[in-house]
Amino acid sequence: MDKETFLESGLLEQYALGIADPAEEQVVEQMFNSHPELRQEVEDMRRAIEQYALQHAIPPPPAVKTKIQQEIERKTAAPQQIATSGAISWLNVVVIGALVVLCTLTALRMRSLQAENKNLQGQLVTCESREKIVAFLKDPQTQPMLLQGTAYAPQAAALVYWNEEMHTAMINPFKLSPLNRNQQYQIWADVDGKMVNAGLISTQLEKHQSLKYLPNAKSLNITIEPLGGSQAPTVSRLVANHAI
Amino acid sequence: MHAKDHQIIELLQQQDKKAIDALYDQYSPALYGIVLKIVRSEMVAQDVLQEAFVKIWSKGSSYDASKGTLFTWMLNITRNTAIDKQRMEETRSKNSEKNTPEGFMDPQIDHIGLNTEVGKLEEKYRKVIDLIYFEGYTQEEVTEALNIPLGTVKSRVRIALRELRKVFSVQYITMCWLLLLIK
Repeated sequence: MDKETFLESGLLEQYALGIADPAEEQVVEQMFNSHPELRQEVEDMRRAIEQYALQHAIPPPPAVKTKIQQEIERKTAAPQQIATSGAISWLNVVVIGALVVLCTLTALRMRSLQAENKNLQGQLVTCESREKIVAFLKDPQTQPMLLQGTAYAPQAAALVYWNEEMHTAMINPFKLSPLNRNQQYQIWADVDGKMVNAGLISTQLEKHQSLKYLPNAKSLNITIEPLGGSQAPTVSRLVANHAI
Repeated sequence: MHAKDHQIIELLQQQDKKAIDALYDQYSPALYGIVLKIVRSEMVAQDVLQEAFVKIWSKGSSYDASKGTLFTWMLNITRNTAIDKQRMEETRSKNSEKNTPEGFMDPQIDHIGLNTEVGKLEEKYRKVIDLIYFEGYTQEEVTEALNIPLGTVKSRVRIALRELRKVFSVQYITMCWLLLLIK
């Protein structure tokens, strides 16, 4: 393409205005090689059009600059934020881990404290009841009775403390042998010819246990019954008795 | 202006925030004026300008001085941002009120801040150059918008640029002459 035709084509202006497509740009740049003075042409055109653009200048409101600065600040700060949030999430894991450990420890401590509390309460109850027991045993009206072993269990024996005035009775099964797990000793009182339930002796055979005070009891009898007791005594398994 | 550009380009390529301050101080009025030619409201124009400067900032390292001046590069980014925004606005208003006329919008040229120097450019040349340079029309789009043949568009562009060069070179010479007189 000769220079004249090229200048006629308007490509140089398009190029200067920045609206030439890549193929057209290539043509223009080839022309620069053969006609270097065209570069200066383009330079001048661009400068002129820039001047023209500057004639249209309108200062934007000052707030826009601040907004742009903030936006760019935010954008440049963004990668750092990601890094920080990475660190935070790592920190989170540590914190969560620590909390889990703390919670577990607290739960365990709570459980042991609860157990201790229960134990102490038990001891307190025992203490209180022990005082009562001592008072009951020391009471002049309390009469001890020895229930002696029968032919079925000659070694068996138990002490019953009987207090008519206080209408209270206790038993110390001090010589009853431990039973297997599904059996329990039960106490019966003979009231008007009938055997009435006076209570169960705990399977632990604790030393001082309450039993039901039955005013007109003629005798006290201990039988071996299934765990939880029976409605009527199993006479064949009478281990000890005493006539009041 | 161009000597200063060199320093700004360096700062921009180093992602130094000072570059944006300098570019803004130097060019934001020219760019804002152009944005206002494309979009219709000042609110939208401010958004466009902000968006454009953020793009200029993030694309800073891709600027190639051999392809054109810094201003032309910035102008292209800003203009494209404005055109995208304007199309979005048009689609939105078209969706909200169906009776908005289609096709090219009426080119609203010279409704703002025209200097007397530019007044020397004849209306028909100025219209063509404004549509192409400020509003990003292709030459083919200008033929449709102004209903003139492509050859006429091309010759008007050429004449417009020639006239502008004259105007501004006269201005330049006058300025130099004045400076000499002052000295």
